[in-house]
Amino acid sequence: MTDVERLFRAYNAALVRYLTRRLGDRDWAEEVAQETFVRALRQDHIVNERAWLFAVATNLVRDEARKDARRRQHLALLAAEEREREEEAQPTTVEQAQEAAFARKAVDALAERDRLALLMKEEGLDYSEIAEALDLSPGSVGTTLSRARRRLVETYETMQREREMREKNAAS
Amino acid sequence: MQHPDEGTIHAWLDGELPPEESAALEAHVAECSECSAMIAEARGLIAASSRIVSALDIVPGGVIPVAAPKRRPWYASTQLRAAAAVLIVAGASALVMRNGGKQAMENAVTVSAPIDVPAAGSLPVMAAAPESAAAESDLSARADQAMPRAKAVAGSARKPYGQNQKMREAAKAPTPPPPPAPAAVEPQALRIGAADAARPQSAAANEAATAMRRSIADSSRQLRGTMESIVVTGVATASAPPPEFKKLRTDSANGAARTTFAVNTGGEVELVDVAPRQARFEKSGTIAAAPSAPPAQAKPREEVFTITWTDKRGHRMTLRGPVPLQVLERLRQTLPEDQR
Repeated sequence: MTDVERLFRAYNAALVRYLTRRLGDRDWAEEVAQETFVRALRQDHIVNERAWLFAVATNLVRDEARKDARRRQHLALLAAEEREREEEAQPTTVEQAQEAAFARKAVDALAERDRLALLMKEEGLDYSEIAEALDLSPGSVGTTLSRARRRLVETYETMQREREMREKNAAS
Repeated sequence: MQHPDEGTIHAWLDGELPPEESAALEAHVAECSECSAMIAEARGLIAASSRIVSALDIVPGGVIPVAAPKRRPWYASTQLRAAAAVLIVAGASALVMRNGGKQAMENAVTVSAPIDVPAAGSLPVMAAAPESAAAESDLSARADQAMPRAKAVAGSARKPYGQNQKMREAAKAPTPPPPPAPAAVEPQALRIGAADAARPQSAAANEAATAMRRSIADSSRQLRGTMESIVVTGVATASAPPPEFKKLRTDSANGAARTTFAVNTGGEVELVDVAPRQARFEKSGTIAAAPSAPPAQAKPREEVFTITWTDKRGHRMTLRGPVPLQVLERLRQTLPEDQR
C-alpha cells in the first residue's frame, strides 16, 4: 500500500464528512478531499498528518481546488470502493429533514473560524491539531469552541421555538 | 483558584487541560456551586452541538449520500405510460359501449373505475382499430374528465403510499387538450367510436360490456393488486402476441432457489425465491419495479430489469432479465398462485 493510500484509508471518511458538513455538498467535498490527498503526495514530510490534511482541505475550500485528473482517477476508484461499503441510505422523515435544515442554518450562522473549529473537533481532532490547522494559539481553542457551541445551540433552539410558536398560532 | 472561564471549562470537558490545571479546576468546582452549574450547562452545550452537527448529515435519501443509479422520472416509466394509456382506452370504450348520448358521461365515470378485469376483454376492440385514432383524442378528453373517480378508487385501495402515488400520477399522466365544448364534439366522437366498436366484433364488445357492468359492484376489492395485470394485459394484447416462457433449470444455494426461464422473444430471465429468514427488509405485499443498472461488462443498450415482490408464502421473489418489464410481469402472472 502506498503512503497516500494509507493516508486515504485512515482519514478520507473523516475528511469528507468534515467537508460535506462544511460545504453542504458531498460531491464537492470529495473533490476537495481528493485534491488534499494529491497535495499530500507532493509533500515530503508531514509532522501531524491529520492536522495537515484538515488545514490543507480548509485552505482548498477557500482557494477553490485545482485539479489533477490522473491521480484523482485513482482516488476516485478508492472512494467508490468506500462508498460501496456504506450502508444503504435510509429514508428521511419530515422531522429529520426539518432538523437538518435548522442545523444547516445554525452552522452557517457561525463565524467561519468557530464553525471550522467545531467541525474539526467533531471529527476527533484535538486542540493542538485544531490550533495547527486553523493557525490559532492552542490556548484559544477552548474559548473558540465554547463560543461556537453556545452560539450554535442558541441559534438552533431559537429557530425551534419560533417554529413551535408558528405551529401554535396556526393551530389556534 | 478564580472562577474558570467558559473556554477553560470546555477544554477540561474535552480532556484538553494539562493535569495540574484540571486538578485545580476540579478542586474549585467541588466548592463552587456556580461553577458546577456552568459545567453542567457546558456539558449540555457540547452534547447538543454534537447532535446538531450530526444532523447536517441528514440529506434526503441518506445520512451520508450514497450515489444512487440515475432513474428515469416516474412519468417516463413504461408501466405508467401503459397504465395511463389503458385508463384512457378503457374509459373511452366504456363511454362508447354504454348507452351513448348524454348519459354517456356519467356512465364513463362509473365504469372507468373497475377497469381491472373486464378491460382485458374490451381492449383489443378499441386498441386494434386504427380508424379510431382520430376519435381517440376526443375520447381521451372525455376519459380525462372521468379520471377523478378512478383516482378516488385507486386511493381507497390499500396500497403502500408510493404505489398509490404512482397510480394517481399514472391517472394524471396524460394531459390531453382541454375538452372542447361538449355539444360540438360529443356526437362525432361517439359516432366514430361506436362504429369502430361495432364493426370488428360487436358480440365480443357486448360481452365485455356485460362483464364490465357485473364487476362494478366489487370494483374496489378487485382493484387491489391488479394495476400490474392491467398494464400487462393491455400492452400485450394491443401490440404483440403474449411472450412464452420455458423453464430451463432450477438450482438452489444459501436458501435461495434460482429458476431460469427462456423467453421466446429472446433472453433469459432468472427467478430468485428467498424464504422469509433471508428476506428481511421488505414489507410484505409490496411490489417494486425498477430498472437496475446493467452489469459493468454487459453489452451496451442491453438493459436488465428487475421486479421484486413478497409472495403469499412470505418469500422474497425477484425476477431479473434483459427483457421489458411487461414480460417480467407476464412471467410473474404465470407462476403458481402462492408464488405471486
